[in-house]
Amino acid sequence: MSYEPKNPRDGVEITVGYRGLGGQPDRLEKRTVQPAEGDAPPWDANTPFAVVGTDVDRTDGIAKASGRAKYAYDITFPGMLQAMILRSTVARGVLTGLELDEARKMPGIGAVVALKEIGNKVRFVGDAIAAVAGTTLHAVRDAIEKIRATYEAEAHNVDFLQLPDAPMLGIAGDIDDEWPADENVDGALAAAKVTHTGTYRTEVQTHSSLETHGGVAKWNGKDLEVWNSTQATFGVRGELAGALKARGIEVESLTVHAEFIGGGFGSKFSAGIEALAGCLLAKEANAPVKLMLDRFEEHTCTGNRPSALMQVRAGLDDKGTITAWDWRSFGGCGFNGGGGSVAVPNYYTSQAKKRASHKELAMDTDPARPMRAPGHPQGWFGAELFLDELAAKAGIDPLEFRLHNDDQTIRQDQWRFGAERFGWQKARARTNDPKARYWHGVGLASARWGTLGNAGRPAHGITCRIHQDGTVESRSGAQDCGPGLKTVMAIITAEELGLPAERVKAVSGHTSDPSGPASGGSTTTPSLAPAVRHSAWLARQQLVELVAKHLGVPENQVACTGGKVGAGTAMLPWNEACKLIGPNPIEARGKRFDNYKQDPFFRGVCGCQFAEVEVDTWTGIVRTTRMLAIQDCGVVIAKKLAESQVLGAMIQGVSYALHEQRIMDRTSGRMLNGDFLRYKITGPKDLPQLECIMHTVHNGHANTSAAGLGEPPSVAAPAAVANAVFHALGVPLRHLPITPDKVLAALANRKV
Amino acid sequence: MLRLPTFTYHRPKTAAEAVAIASEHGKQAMYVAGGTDLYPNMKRRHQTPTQVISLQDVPGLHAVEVLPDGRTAIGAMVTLTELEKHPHLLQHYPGFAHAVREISTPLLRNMGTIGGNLLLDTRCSYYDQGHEWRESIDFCMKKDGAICWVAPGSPRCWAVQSSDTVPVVCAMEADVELVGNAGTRTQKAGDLYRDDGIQYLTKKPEELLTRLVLPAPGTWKASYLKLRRRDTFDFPILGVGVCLWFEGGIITKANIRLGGAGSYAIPASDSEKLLVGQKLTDELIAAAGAAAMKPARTMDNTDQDVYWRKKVAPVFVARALEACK
Repeated sequence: MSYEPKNPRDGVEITVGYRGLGGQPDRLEKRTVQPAEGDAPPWDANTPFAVVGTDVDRTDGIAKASGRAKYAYDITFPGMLQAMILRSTVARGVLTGLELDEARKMPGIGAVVALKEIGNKVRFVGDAIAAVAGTTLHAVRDAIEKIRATYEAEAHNVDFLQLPDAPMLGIAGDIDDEWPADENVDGALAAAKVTHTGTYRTEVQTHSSLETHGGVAKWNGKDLEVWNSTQATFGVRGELAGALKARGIEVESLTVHAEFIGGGFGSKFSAGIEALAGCLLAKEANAPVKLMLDRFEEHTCTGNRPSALMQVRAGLDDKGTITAWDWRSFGGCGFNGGGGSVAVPNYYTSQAKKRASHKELAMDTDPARPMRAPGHPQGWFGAELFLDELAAKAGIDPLEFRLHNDDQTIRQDQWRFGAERFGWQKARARTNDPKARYWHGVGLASARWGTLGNAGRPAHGITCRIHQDGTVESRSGAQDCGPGLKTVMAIITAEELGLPAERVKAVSGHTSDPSGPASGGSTTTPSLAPAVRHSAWLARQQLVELVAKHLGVPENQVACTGGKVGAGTAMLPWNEACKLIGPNPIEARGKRFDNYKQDPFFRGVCGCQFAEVEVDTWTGIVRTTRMLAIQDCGVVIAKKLAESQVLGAMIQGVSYALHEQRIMDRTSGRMLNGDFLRYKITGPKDLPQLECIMHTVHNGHANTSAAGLGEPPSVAAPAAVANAVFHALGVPLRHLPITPDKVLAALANRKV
Repeated sequence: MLRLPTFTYHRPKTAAEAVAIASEHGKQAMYVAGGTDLYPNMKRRHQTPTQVISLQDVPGLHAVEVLPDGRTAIGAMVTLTELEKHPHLLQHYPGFAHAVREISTPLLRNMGTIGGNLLLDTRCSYYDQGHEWRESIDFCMKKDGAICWVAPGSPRCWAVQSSDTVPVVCAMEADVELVGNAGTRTQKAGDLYRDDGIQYLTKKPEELLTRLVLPAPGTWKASYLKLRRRDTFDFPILGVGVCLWFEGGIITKANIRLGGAGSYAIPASDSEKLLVGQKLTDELIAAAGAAAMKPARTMDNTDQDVYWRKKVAPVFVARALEACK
């Protein structure tokens, strides 16, 4: 590929949009954008990619599968101490006594620190009280047992529906409270041809990351190094620096490492009390300290997706257009009363008079943390199931109903393509023999998300190095928490340099490298891809300069392609060209420029999913048998990894729809199923046949036009499963998870 | 973090030696076979033996052999993986082999043994928790405490029988061989268990289970059907073991045992009575299934809704009977 080395001053004309999936029409258009001075010229829909969008393997796949990848849990040093946290046994109260001396005197103990002071409030079962470091976990455990912590317990509540502010529920589980008057919505509802109302519930879901929270802290004088399982290396650095300073501990330099992370799903943005405790213990003990949480702590102390109670009423006109939409919801949050808000799709209701309200209800439990599309799976479940009920009442097919009301063109195309591929019409037309044991049903639901990434303040960067021996390095200080940032870096760099992806060594997760965003809100790839591209583009220019001089040709004739660099017939193999570099490698610092000021083709991402279920009417057990996702994420960079991420979201969605539920013991305020034996996550033998079709959309908002993918596919999956169950049974199940007892109860109440 | 407490590890070379060590240390001693139940339990301080007696080196516990009278004797140390793949068992005892295959995951079956599975500890939501967890609710009567959190007014423990092989082995009227201080004795497998979540075994603590002896193949058929949330990996929340003896198409004897529905594998006696002297027709299967609702004594101490678990007992009994057709 060869470009003009600079962007023209009067802007670049590019082709944005997408090529139709299957038989769907192409939607391409020309647009003039003005890249910032110094940025790489934009890729667009006509760029002939050699690596981008192909099936490149995960660059660290072998390292992970073979155990060579070192996670925070794997880091170890000579003389390193192990640590644990003593946690509160009451759900609410005040710490009235804390005796640490006996623990300090125990054999093998290097440090004991208080994490709460006497008189501090205790907010939930599992609130951190003190931490102990010692030579072995046995020693630490013995010492922890010697700590005397006493509490003045207060009455607690771990069921948000029992709170005084909670709405009244009727016998059938519907919210009984009157809707407040609203002229707009009341009028639209009164004028509607068909109206419907329903109450929906979801339960608390825990993140359940395979690697628990925590890490290793190691001081070298006033320099601190931390290996942490985190989604935000730079965030953790800032947080720890601030917290240590507040405690009067001087830190000259602080480096955070997170090269491999065993899942986060939104729970690992903060350093948390565990990382701070590790630093304090390491300081006091004058030795490296490892503090990793155990599984029960992971379930009870590191955040969750709050439960939700949602009610909606809406109306349709005679054409099937939604004309009224009235929504209210309640979030079952932790003690801080935050994070429980619920999002609902807005693209079906552009013609409607609308109202929405939300109230957070605080329980005496661990606070919410963001979890893969916060608020969305809950709200989409409520809204999409409600829409299917409404469509059924009006006698309209759910797909037709969506096609009629969905105001987004991209998803319209995806609905049509997906329905065809899934065999929607045929599957939907099939009726269940009332005498048959197994009933089948199909359902669908939409997805959305809205991030095209951002530049960061100060702007994020990437380092690209080309060495004399031909090695190429791409480095980011941001973390690759699983989705595949490293693979994305390798692919983009390889594309720019005309190499295969495996020639690029991508490294991420050390704050000594250029900064990147926290991996949240599906922003990592869209934020960093343009900086990766820019770094490779700059490095390439330097190499081209050397080769042009060597061959005696003008620079603008030199191309990097197919593993060669040169002009015309004088093409040097990559390694030969790199010999021109000399002992100091080419090093370029790419920068993430702001997104173009011109409007992108689309501001977010769309997507839709289809699900098929089989219900055993004798037992009520639901199995998801088949699922299809159509998902866009701007330009698909690493196709295989993108698909893998969507499949993972579908699995998580099935798990949320059918199994996952935090169960609290009301008396003690403790989680009853705080382990993987009783907190049920879908296992491999319970998975449906999964398919994912990625849809590349050139938004034209930055030089690479990648958009976020982490969250959107998790928005649709639970709703699609719930709609399929509704189709199979003929009655909606409005309370997730859809356990067999609820199915049998619904079948018993079914009007025959 | 769950850690194993320290203990002394014994490796006796004979059954008699093992029994002697166990007798010497009394309550401080426990046998370990595969360790897949005992070690996690020790980490949670459910069992706190200071003397752990490995059966690895005890001869005679590691083989499956067909006895001259046609019965099949299985050594207590034979792994579940070996059993599920054993040609003789697959051919002549498909119901039993199926039950073995339903246990846990391949990794655990590689370590877990038939002896360990037959003696599996009973389970409960308030018991199968870490020590610190249990301490914070002042423990429960099964270990260290006084109350049953599942039924606080109850004088007894309601922990649940959770082995997959026990219901079918009891239904088949298999024998177990036990070595004690007085030598070897044989008894019906069904007599090994009692209806109590704590004292769920009738054997003396030092008595060593050495062999399971399955009846000779004949005019009987056995089956096992497991209910659990996920096919991937879960303890049974209902495990139906059935064995029917036929003579000319007529059922002469019927045993139905409900596992996961109480502290022992409960006989579904009403269902059994309906079957005897009859042909196994669809109508009879449905009627016998329906009669199995009553004996299931589900409590709210395991996965899934307590009433639902009782409600589906008839379905599972019917399906298990169907499999004996």
